[in-house]
Amino acid sequence: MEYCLETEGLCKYYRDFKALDGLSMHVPKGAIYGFIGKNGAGKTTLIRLICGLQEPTHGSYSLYGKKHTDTGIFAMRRRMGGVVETPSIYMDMTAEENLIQQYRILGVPSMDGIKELLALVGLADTGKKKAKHFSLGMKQRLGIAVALCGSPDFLVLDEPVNGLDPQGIVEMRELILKLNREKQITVLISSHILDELSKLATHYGFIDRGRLVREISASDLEAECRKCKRVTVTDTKLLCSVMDERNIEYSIISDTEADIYGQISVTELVTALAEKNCEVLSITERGDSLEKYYINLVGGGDNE
Amino acid sequence: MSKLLSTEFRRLFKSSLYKWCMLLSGVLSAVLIILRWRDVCESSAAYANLPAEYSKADDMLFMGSLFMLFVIAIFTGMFAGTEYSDGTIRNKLIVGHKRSSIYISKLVVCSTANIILHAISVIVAWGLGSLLLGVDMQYGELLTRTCMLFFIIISMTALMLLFAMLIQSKSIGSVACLSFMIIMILAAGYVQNRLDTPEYYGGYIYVDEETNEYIEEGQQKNPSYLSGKKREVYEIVFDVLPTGQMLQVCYRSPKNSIMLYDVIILIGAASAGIVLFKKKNLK
Repeated sequence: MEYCLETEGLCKYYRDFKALDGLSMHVPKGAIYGFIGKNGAGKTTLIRLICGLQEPTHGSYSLYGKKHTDTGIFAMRRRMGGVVETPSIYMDMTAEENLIQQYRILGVPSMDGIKELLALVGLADTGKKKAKHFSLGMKQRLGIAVALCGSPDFLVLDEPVNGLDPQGIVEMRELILKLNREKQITVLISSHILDELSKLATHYGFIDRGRLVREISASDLEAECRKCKRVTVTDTKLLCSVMDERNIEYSIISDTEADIYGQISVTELVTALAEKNCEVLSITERGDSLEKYYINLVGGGDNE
Repeated sequence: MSKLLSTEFRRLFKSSLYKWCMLLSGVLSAVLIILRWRDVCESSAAYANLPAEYSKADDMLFMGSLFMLFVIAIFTGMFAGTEYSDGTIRNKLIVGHKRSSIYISKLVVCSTANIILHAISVIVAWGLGSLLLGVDMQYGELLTRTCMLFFIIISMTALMLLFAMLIQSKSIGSVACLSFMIIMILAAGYVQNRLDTPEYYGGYIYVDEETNEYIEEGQQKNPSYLSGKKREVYEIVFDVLPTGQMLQVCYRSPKNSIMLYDVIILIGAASAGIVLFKKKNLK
C-alpha cells in the first residue's frame, strides 16, 4: 500500500511534557483518515509537525516517501494543503484576494482557477466582503479554499467542524467527501466529534497520550463494531440449519451461543427453531458505536 | 524567494495601515516645515539677528524622519505580527517555503516599506522647505545624508523585525518594538547630552555686595565633561546606536563609518533572527 504520510516513533517534547511519545502512523493514498483523540492527546501537535510548523524531538516522518530531514521534503510539501487549528486567512482581504495571495505564495502564474475554487467551497458570491466579516463557517471554508490552492494531493484538516452550526457541519462533510471522491485528495482529519468522523473516514487512527493506540480501516472497524443479535439456544447445530436455509450470515461462538448478523424477526427465528425442537434461551442486541469502540480502546474511565 | 517577495509586496501596497503611515509621513514633514515657516514669518526681526541657516529648512529636512522612528516600530511590529495573528505564516510553511526565505523576504519588504516612508518625509520636507524657507544644503550632501538615513532605517528594521518575528503576538510584538525604539531614543538622547556637556563653565562677573567691587571668575573645568577613554566609549555608542546615528544625520556632521555599523547591525540582527526563527515552535 502506498502512503501519503508515514511517521516512525515520532516524539515531541515541550520541556518535560511529552506531547507525542513514539507515534507511528500510516495514512494511505486516497484515504480519508480520521485522527481521533481527546483534547490534549497530541492530534494538533502531530499536525503541526507534519505541516513543518515545529520540528520533532525524536523520530521521523515521511511525506510521499521523503523523510522530513531530506531536502526534498520542501518539494513534497508543495503537494500539501492544510488548515491547522484556525483558518489561515488575511482578515482584511476578500475571499478572492486571499486566494490570489496563496496563488502567489505557490508561484501559480495563472489566476484562472480562483473562481472555481470559490464556487467549490460555496463562497462565489462574497464579492468585496472582507474575511473579518465572514461567519465562522465561511472562514473555515475559505481556509480550506486557501489550502486547496495549487491542487494539493494531501489535505490536512485540524478540527474542521469545531464551532460550526449543524448546517455548516453538513456542508463541511459534503465538501470533504466531494474533494476525496472527485479530486482523489487524501484527507487527514483530526477530530473528537466521533459521530461526524464516522460518516466520512475510510481509515482511523486512535491517539491517546501521544501514542497511536490503534490504526484500523473503516471496514475492519465496522466488522469489529458490527451490530448483531447474540442468541443463546439449546443446540447451535439446529440454529445453523435454520440460518443456512434462510441464507443469513452468522457466526458460532460456542455450542449454545451464536451471533446473527442478518435481518430476521425474533418471532420467525423462535418459530423456526421451535419447529426443529430447539429452544431459544436468550436474545440480546450487540455491537459498538465508534464512540464505544474508542472508549473501550483508550480506557474511558481513566480518561474522563 | 521571489514568490514570497511578490506576495509580501502585494500585501504591503494593499495594506490600509501602510497607506495611513505614508500619509502620516508626508503630513508630519509638511507640518514641521510649515511651523518653522510661520515662526520665521512671525518673528522675522529675531531671525534677522541670527545666522542665515536658522531661517532655512536645512535642519528640518530629516526631522520628520526622527518622529517617524515610532512609526517604523509600530508598522514593522504590526505588519510582521499580522502573519501570526491571522495565522497566514502557516500557509507559507505548509507549502514548503523555508523559514530563512520567509524571514529574509519580510526583512526586504519591511525595509523597503520603511525606506519609502522616510523618502516621503525627506521629499516633502525638501520640496516644501525649498518653497517656503529655502534650502542651502548641496545636492551631494543631501544625497549622502539620505543614503545614510536609508542604511539606518534598514538596520533599525532588522532590529524591530527580530522582536516582531520572535513574539507570536501582534500586539505584544508591536509593544516590544515600540518599547525598544523608545529605549534606543532615550539612550541616544542621554549619550548626546553627555557628549555635548561643555568642558568648561563659562566665565562670569559679579559685584561683591560688601566691597562693591567687580569680581571676574574665569572658566572652570566641568566635572561632568567626558574625557579620555570614557568619551571614546560614549562616542562609539553614539555612532553604533541607530538612534544616535539618526541624531547625527539630523543635526550634526555624520561620520561615514555609521554605514559600516549599520551593515554589522543588519547582518547580526538578521542572522540571529533567522537562527532563532528556525528553532521556533510555531502554532
